[in-house]
Amino acid sequence: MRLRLAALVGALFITSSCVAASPDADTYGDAAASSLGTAVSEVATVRTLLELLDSGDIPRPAVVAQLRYSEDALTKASQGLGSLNPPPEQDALSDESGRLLDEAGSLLQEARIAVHRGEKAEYRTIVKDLDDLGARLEKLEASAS
Amino acid sequence: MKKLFAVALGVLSAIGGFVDIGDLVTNALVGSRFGMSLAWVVLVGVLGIVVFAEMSGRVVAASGRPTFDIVRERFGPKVGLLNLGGSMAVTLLTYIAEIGGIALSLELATSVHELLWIPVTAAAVWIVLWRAKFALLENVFGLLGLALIVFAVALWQLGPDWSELATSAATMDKPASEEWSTYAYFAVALFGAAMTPYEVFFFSSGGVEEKWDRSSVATMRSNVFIGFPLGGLLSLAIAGVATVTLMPEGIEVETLGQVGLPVAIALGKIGFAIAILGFFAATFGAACETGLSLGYSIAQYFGWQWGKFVRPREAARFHLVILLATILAAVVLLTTIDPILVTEFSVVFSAVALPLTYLPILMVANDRGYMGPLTNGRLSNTLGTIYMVIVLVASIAAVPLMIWTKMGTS
Repeated sequence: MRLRLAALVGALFITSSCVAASPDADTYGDAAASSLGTAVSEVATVRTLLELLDSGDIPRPAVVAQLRYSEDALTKASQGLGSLNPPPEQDALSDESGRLLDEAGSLLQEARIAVHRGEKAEYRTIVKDLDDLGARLEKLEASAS
Repeated sequence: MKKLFAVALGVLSAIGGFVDIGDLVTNALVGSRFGMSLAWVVLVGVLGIVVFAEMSGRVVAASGRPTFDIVRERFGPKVGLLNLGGSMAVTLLTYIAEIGGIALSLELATSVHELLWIPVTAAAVWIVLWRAKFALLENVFGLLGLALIVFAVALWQLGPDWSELATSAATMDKPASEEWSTYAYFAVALFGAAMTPYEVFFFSSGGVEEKWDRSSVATMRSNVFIGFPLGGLLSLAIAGVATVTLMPEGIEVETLGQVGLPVAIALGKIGFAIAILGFFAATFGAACETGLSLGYSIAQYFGWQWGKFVRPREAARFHLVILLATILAAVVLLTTIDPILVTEFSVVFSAVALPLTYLPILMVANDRGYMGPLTNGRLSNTLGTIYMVIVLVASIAAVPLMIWTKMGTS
């Protein structure tokens, strides 16, 4: 009897783990704010790295290594939020955060390629774009939480 | 003159050896999120480690035996085993984090992925622990760890509003965007990082390696009373530069590269290179200390020959424990687990295990049979008792806070 009960609980646990979570509006808002906060942090990190690299104030290997981590962190944050089923009243937040997180992913990718190729002329354009994106991410984060 | 040199060397090594991967990451992370509002925890933690390190140093000087050898004899094998199991689990976690920290430092210096450095760093740590003399590994990495003074220089160079930093530290007020539960979680983590159990295992057994006796008490006290607080100032400098540069940008520290970013902002390429050297020395030194602590404690519990003062052949089981721990650490890290995540776990579980480490020290240091004239005085006992209360609160609160705040992410 105990064995069957344990098997049933185990099966329910495994099944529920495989189903995407459907949080309420507040919980979804908190999750979005957390993912956007990670994006703000990584976008600001990469912007600072590019500025320092442009002025020759940081060794290139350290920038390459940190870019890798920033991209990974952003991907995880984006996937984490994307795996949730947003409640209908949070559709606008879901769409906007998804769009901004995608944009952040593309910009970080651009930054990595520019650093790999040593395209110094690109750094300032990317820094400006990251600055602009950072402000929009912060604004959305503040409204989500 | 020779004695003065020994004292100076000991103090400098204590300063450079005070900071490890847990201190680096936790202080920078807290500085980037809470400013200096948790600086008081560093002060409380440093005073705590000073009180208990001095106590365990006195135990060695009075008895010529490491503290936990006496713990087993005084409290019996069952209590000794409980103490050993809890403390060693946390020390192993710290050992894994330190080896991961060395790999991350090398990744920053070369851009070669840390996973490729793991086998190299694990092998290097083991070879050093096997071959190098105790004084060499204690002093070389301690002195190289002084490179972390670059964080204090960076803070001065950044020219912050000192009164604002002091006010932030004095008011102990969290930023509006953070929850009090998260503030409490990071307070416990910082406390755990400052009072990591391996520090007293290493300090105590290291005293036996260096053949301390009653005449060594003054030198031991100068290392503890001067070296540790100055090492604590380095922790505050790490938090300070993060407060000044990262917090206004919204950068939350999650990597070792972000820990060093403020130094690059303040001092440029050379400063950043010195910071990487400091990361390497601090993590390598701490990996040696945690690796030795694992060997010391297990060998002492089972009554095996131990230490670097005998040939490896004569302490084969002691060296075997270190070898197995090193292999296990490398295997865990090669599963691609994030070393920074391991570090965060290690400082929180250090807080959980604190009573297992510090209560026996307090009790043994009060036992006249072992301590004779070096038994705890009124001041040591008052401070020790106050700290036992703090340690118990931190230990009980650590895991619930970790779950409640989702490791500080909420």
